[in-house]
Amino acid sequence: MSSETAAPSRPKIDVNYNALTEVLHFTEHEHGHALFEHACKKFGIPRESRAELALYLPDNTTEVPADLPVEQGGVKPDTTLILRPRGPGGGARE
Amino acid sequence: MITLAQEVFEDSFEHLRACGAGCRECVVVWAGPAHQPDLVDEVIHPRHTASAVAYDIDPQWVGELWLALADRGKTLRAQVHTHPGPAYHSGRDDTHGLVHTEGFVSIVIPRFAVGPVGIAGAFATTRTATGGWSEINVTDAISVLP
Repeated sequence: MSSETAAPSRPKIDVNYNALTEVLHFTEHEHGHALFEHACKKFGIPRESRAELALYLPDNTTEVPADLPVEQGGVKPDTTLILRPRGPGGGARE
Repeated sequence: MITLAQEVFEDSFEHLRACGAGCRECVVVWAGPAHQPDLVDEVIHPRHTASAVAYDIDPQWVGELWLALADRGKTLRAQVHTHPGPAYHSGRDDTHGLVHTEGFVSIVIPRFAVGPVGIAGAFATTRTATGGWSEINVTDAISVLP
């Protein structure tokens, strides 16, 4: 069976970034960091900006642990994760 | 270029002035229909804290906003904030921008936005494909419809 054929049977989640939604499939052993990178790539977020962002569970508070398999980290199929900045802000102070 | 109604532009100044009170920075964000990338039709005043020289948006509020906008088929197009003096993009502005994808616009309004409503002295920049910012003329960034 080709990987393309197998992909639809893998669990999926929605990821929301800037109110846009992308569907991601993941594997049982995929770690949170890989899912985060996959999500950033889908939304076209450049590598240089990724340190400012994190992927959050649907509670919008708990970060998906980078170093755990995603389901062990609390990710449930068919839910919506939120990709958002950790600390947005600005101002004249350098 | 982003097109927005005069009413949205004026409302933005009202928020910046009322919240900043001439002594604190403030920020608003502009949203528009996801399928019309050049249109802004809503100004939103974020949950944030601010001092005379900095502001911080509640990151949890950002997640709430994104879910709410998605339900309405909208997305964020720009952030607009004030500085106490001249308008420019500080290192803090560069590092902690709200959206990281190419084309997102950031506008800075000088002197806590207490001057006339308009783009005089304002600064505009857009996100580049590599996550940086590229300054553009404000008149090339936005068009305010009468």
